[in-house]
Amino acid sequence: MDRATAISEIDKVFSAYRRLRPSDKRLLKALKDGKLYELYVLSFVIVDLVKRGFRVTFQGHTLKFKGSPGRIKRSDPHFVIVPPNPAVGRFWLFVDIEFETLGSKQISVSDNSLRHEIDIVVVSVDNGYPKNSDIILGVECKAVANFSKSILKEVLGVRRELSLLQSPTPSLLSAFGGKPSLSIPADPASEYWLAYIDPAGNSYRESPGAFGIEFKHLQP
Amino acid sequence: MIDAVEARLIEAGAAELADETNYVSADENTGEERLLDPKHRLIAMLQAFDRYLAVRDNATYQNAMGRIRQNIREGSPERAMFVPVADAVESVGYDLSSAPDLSEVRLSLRRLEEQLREEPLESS
Repeated sequence: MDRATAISEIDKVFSAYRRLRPSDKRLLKALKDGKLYELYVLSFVIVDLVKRGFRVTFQGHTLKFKGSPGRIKRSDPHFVIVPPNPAVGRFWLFVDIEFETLGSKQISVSDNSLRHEIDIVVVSVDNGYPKNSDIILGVECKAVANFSKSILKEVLGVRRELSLLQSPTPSLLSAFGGKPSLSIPADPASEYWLAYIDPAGNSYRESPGAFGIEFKHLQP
Repeated sequence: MIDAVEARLIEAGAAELADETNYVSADENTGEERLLDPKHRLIAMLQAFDRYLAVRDNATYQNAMGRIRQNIREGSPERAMFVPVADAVESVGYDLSSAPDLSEVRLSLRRLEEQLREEPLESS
C-alpha cells in the first residue's frame, strides 16, 4: 500500500468517526469514564455467577452507573444473587460502590483514605458502606486503550485494603456453594478481578496472582 | 504517516493515544524501552483507536444487555443509564443506549490494520 492510499484510508475512518461522535457532553463523559465497558464486564460477571450455580435476578427497571461512587442504597436498582444452597442466604450486586478499608479496622481513620471505590461488587449487605469483610467479589474495570503499570499498582493497593495475605483457602463464593471451587490466598477470601480491554494487561498478571488478583482480558 | 495518525487522533478527542511512549517494547538484553518500528507503531496506534471506539460503540451496549438478559431469571434491566451524581434523578442521567453505532467505522479500521500488516508500507 502506498503512503497516499494509506493516508486516504485513515482519513476516511477518522472522518466517519467524527460524523458519528456524540456531541452531548454528558454522554461523552459517561463513555470516557468507561461506563459502557463497566456494563460489558458486568455481563460477564453475571455469566460467571450463573455458570457457578448462583441464581441471579434484577430488582428495578433501569441499571444505573454513577459518576461518583458512594454507599449502597437498598432502593437503587441492583441484582440479587442466590447461592446454589439458598439456605445460606443471599447476596447483592451493586455498581460504583465505596467500601471501608481494612486499614480503618486497625486504626481510627477519618481522612480520605477511609474508603476506596470498586466498580462492581457482590456483597453480603444491602445498605450503607460495606466493610472490607462484606465484599465477596470485587471487579475493577479498566477501559483505557493502553494498559499502564499504574493500573497494576492501583489494584494491588485495593487488594491490600480488602484482605490479608494467607495460605490459599476456598473463596467466599466457593464456600457458599459456587462450583468449581476456587482457592484464594486472602483473608477474608474475597475474589478480586481486574478486567481490562488492552491485551497488554496480560503481561502484568503473574505477581498479582500471588495476592489473589485475577486478570481478565475482556475486549468488545 | 505516524504524524498524520497522531494529528487525527488528537482531532478525534483521543489525544492520549497519540503519545508515542505508549508504543514501546523492552530490549531483551538491556531492558531498555525502545519505540516500536514505524509500521508496528502505526498498527498499534490503530488497534488502540479500535479499543477506544469499542467502549463508545452501541454494539457493545447491545451485546452486554443481550448477555445479561439471557442469564437473568427474573426482571432483567430494561436499560442502563449513567447518572453523574449518586442522588441525581433519572431525568439528568443519560441512557447508554444513545451511544453511536460505530460498527462500520470499526470494521473499516480493522480492514485497514489488516492491509497494513500484510503489505509492505512504502514509506512511514
